[in-house]
Amino acid sequence: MTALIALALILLLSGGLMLLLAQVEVGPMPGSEPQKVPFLGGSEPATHAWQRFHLRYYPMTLLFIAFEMEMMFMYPWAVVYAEIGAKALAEMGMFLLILSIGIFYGWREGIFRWQ
Amino acid sequence: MAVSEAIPRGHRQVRYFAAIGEDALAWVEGLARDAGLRRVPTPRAASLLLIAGRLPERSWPALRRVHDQMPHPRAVLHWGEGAQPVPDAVALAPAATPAVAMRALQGDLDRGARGSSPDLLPNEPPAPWLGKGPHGQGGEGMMGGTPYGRPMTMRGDELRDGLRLDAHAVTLGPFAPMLPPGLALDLRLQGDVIQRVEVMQPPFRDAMVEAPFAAAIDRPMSAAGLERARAVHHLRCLGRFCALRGAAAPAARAYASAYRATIGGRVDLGSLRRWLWLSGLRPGIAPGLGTLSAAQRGCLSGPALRAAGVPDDLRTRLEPYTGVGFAPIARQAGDVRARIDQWLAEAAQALDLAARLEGLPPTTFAEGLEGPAGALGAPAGGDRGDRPALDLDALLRGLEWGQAVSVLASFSPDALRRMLGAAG
Repeated sequence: MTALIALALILLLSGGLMLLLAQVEVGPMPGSEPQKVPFLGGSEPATHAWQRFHLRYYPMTLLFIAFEMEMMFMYPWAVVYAEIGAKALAEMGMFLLILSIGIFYGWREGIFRWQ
Repeated sequence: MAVSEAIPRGHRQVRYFAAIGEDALAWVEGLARDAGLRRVPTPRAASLLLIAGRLPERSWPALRRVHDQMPHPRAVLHWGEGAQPVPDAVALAPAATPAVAMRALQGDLDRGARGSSPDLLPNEPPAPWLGKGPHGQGGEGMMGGTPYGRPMTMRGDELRDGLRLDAHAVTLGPFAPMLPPGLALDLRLQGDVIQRVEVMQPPFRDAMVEAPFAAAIDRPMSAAGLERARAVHHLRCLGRFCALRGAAAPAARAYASAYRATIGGRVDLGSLRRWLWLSGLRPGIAPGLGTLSAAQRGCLSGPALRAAGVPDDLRTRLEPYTGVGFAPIARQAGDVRARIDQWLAEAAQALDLAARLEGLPPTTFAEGLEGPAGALGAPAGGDRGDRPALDLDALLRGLEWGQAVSVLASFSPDALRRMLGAAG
């Protein structure tokens, strides 16, 4: 009975996978060359599409990792600090040193400026 | 009318992309009342290209690109006079109603009775592959040259948070659906924040809205009719603004009100005002958005000028308006909010004036009159010449793209064309 259910499952899943694969078009992109150009109201793109898009939450993410995540690791560290002592202090110092590079980078890029 | 009645049995909705030329915006917006036709914002979703009005020759290359971006099968309809670059376009006189022709064309395409409109541009990449190896590798310099024919974007200055990333250069228009017809902008963006704007082409002429007002300078016209035309213009501008902000319900109501004002029906602007507020559209416009600097304020005219605190209106000096106690409406802020409120208030005022001026003999306004977007005729001719041109870069720099679209839509297309200093 279990073997039958397993066989049915295998057949079902592989059938579904085949259906998915059948929809993937193989070969060159359909359409003529003018159709591949992005629609800009009649204009042509001047630069390549491959570029670093400015996400507006990027500085916030950087600050979040630098300050929030460091706190997350400091709670368990505080529990074992008394036990381990100087070695734990040195390890946390190294960790904070690495994180502070991110903070200094953000500082240089001006993310602490009030807008 | 229910949708099922509007679309004849056996016909599907016709999806068309409108390439709007000179004096044709009102025509195309009139088609929105037909539930069987749907204007789509990109040619990729359209099977019909509607070229409306006369197209200046400088926009032909852009139209060829738009035409070729439509998927097959496709057809082209040219509604209006003058030449255009698509040889197999079906011509339609300006006075004709295109809905029937559009459905017939779609039906022919569906049945295969009509061949698809062939490409106008050669089937080769506009920016060919320049790399040495099969994957574009091996060019010159750090970026590997320009393997895809277009240069890579480089880091550029950033106005808002100082994080310098790639400055995206993009040219939009003249058939971009979110911009006034004909307007082409060259933009530098970081994310969606505008760093620099350059006007490549001003909007096309849109003299149709002013036609009855311009005619009243030479021959007698009914002042009530002119006021109704003014209300229609303001309501259309409101509808366009709502549609661009994605508020379909207030947009439909504004257009419906404009249509009822055209045919002389009863218009309930209180309902439109409630829709503007309750849909979240009016409260959602940031206060202070699109305020012109004191130096720039000189290029404003008409409702936009009155929304910026200058109660300038030729109607205060002209018969028959003085006879019915006309007083101009003005507000202080001069931002997008104020201009939207001003359109609605002036539309209501114009409808009220039309009711009071009904039945008076037609008047000739030989010394000029107040048009829907500013003074027209003799006294205006002199001062319009020395108006400063609008510095669009100063107005839009630092705004997000969506905000910039709102600012541009808060001026009527023809007013924007004059503010940008286009002649004629």
